[in-house]
Amino acid sequence: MKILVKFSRSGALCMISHLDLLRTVQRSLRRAELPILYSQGFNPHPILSFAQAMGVGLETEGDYFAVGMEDTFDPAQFCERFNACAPSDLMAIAARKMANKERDPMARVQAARYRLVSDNEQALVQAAKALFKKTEYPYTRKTKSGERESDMRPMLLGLNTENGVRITVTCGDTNLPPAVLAAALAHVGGFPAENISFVREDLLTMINGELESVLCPPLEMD
Amino acid sequence: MTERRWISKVNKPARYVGGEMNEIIKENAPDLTRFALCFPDVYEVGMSHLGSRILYEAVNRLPFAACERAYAPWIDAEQEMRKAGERLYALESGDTLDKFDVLGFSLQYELSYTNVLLMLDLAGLPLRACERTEEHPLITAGGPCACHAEPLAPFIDVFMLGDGEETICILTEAVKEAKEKGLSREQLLDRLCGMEGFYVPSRYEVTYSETGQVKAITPVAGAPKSVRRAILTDLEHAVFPTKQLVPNTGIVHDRAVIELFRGCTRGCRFCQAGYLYRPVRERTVDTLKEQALEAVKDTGYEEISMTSLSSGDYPCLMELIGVLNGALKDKMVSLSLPSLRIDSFVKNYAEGIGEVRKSGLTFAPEAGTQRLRDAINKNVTEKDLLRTVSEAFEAGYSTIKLYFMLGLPTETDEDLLGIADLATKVISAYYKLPKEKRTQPPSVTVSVSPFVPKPFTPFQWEPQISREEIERRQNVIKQALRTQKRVRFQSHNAGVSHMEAIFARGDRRLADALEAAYRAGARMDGWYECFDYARWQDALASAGLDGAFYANRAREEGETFPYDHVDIGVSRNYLWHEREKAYAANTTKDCRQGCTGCGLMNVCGGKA
Repeated sequence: MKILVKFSRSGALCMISHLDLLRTVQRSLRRAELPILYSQGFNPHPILSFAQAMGVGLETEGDYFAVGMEDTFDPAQFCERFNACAPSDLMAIAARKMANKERDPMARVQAARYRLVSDNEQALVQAAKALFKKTEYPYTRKTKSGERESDMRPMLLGLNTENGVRITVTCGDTNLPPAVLAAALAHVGGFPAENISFVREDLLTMINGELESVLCPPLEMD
Repeated sequence: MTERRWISKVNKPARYVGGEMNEIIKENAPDLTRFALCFPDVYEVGMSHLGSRILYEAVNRLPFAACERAYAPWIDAEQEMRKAGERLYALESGDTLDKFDVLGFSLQYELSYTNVLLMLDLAGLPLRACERTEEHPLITAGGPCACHAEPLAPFIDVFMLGDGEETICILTEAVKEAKEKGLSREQLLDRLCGMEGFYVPSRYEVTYSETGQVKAITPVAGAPKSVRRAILTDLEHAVFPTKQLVPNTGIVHDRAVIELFRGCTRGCRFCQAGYLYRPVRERTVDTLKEQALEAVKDTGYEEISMTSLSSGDYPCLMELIGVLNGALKDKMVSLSLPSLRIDSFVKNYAEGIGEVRKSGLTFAPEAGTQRLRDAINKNVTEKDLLRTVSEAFEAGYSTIKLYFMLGLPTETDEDLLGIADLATKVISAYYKLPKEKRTQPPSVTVSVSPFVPKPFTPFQWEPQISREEIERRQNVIKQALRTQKRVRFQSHNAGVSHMEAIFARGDRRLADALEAAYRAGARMDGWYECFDYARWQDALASAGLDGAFYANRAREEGETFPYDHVDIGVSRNYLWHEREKAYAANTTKDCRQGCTGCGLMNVCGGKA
């Protein structure tokens, strides 16, 4: 079976690359002596996949990995056992058994919600509202094959300014990195991008026409 | 940890934040003795060092002390720290180093000396001991180079010589008592001076002759005539950490470690470690098994390394590999065996070590001809090497790296051509295998480093060859290998080796050159991209010193060495005798096969 784990990372753990995070999770699983499954073959490695790569510096309260585990294991035990053996800045928040035919979280992620913080929240709110009012927002997208002109507006899915500033953007196949979002807000608001910091609150997927947390199981699965 | 905003701007920010698994954080209290282990190189190098892991554990086991870690920041981080006006700090608490009671530097190689100055400077401390006051931490340094770190003498309060696990606890306790009793720095040094393993450089006056050599080293204020290196006699019961730090980011040696034994019995004449870590002290298979299993459990590492100066020489190696393989196989842990000698690598090891990665093997014949290998007492033969590589090819290895030295005493061009010849024969060994036993075609790397004469070896009297001659000899090998498509030739920067030779046998006058080089921007000198030979030449000139005097001069038999007041236990007569045997190309047997009389019989009982 596979287990879906929602986790957070903060502090020192924010400063590592995606590959480093993968290794850190693997070693935490091994220290916890959890009955993880390994790939077959010449050079076995744990069956482990992440929903979304995380850039150096990003803090998260809601990212996901799926890990293969022996069928006898009770997912309710996962968080306690994992957290006892993980660095203090890495924490499993919730875990559930994945449905038999459930796709890996990587294939389900469609959006991400970020909480934005700034020294000058009023300016940030104004910039966010102005950005969302636009019908298009051209920007230069850096891809592996070079730079490309693109429209950011369709990637901006939702804005909530009650109790802080939260912005939902597309993630997964068409990913809007938070640093690019911060640069756009800074440009619109006329303040330096360094003034904005952001925390990923959750990764989302479309269920029944609504964006829901990836933690929610898909419909009509056993 | 307090927020340091510059961290997110630099390369590899994980170097500067701590938060590793098995990090030890103690609550600060006024009566806590605070020790910061300082490694004068970047995080990935320092974190890989086994000695530091052991000392971290040893000090933290003391209930009255807390040990933290600090590493030298890379160039970009140093610049950001200076811009932000920040001081260097330890990773556990984030407190700046000036708040600690003791800073302990690990001296692993001469070219890290500028980083010692960098770390003191970034901590906001005066570089020289005589400029520091009671307000400042006690500055100590250990590691192999501490036995001959005279160029650092003015900067260090007390050196720790020899095995550190007991010495460092004695020091920490002395610091605690000095704090309680309100002793002055001088009173504390008085206490340490004269104890085995503690060398207080300010208690020795050095005079020089008109021709520049050390004339006399005179103890003052009741200091002993010489300081003996500390030797741990019982390795089996010595402290060893199984809760090894697991970094969050990749480091150089990213695996769990057990230490099979300390010391080496082979007596290679160029090798400082072979003399400095005598005698051999071993751990039993039972203890190693226990430590390995605990380390694997506590770290979650997928690989464990059986380390020592020459792991193939561990008498129960096959038994150990069998035991560990049995216990670790279903945990998906692989074993690795560094420091294999050519004559101790056998097929069984390769097979026992497993199915995991058969990428590369490294061997060190060190010299190209049997005559020269005999002269340096590297007792391996061409037959050994060719048999071993055949076995390795057959076992599925395809990449072989061969290490050699260049500029060894008595070396001629014939010896250099022998290097190329040996590499060619290694390639042929592959094609001599029957076709069905060949795997992928081999690639051989020949890596040649200029020889650096080291203190406390039979070659401490020898000159290093000049930089020009190093380059000429590199070319001889390169030309000879020109037509060999499967051999890659790797040479090393002659300037780096020259500076290493200067500082290895340097005296206290070099302190001024060291400081001048640091002030002119020298740091991270072990990294080719940072090393600047011209800057070092300027620094030597500004101190009125001649590099060739230190590096390229043959010493008289009776010359007083700058480190003559350090007694490592191996007698100077023995070393001189070994040098004479080198010139006659006579070998000395492995001392496991019978005592060779090096001077440590009172410790090892002459029976290894």
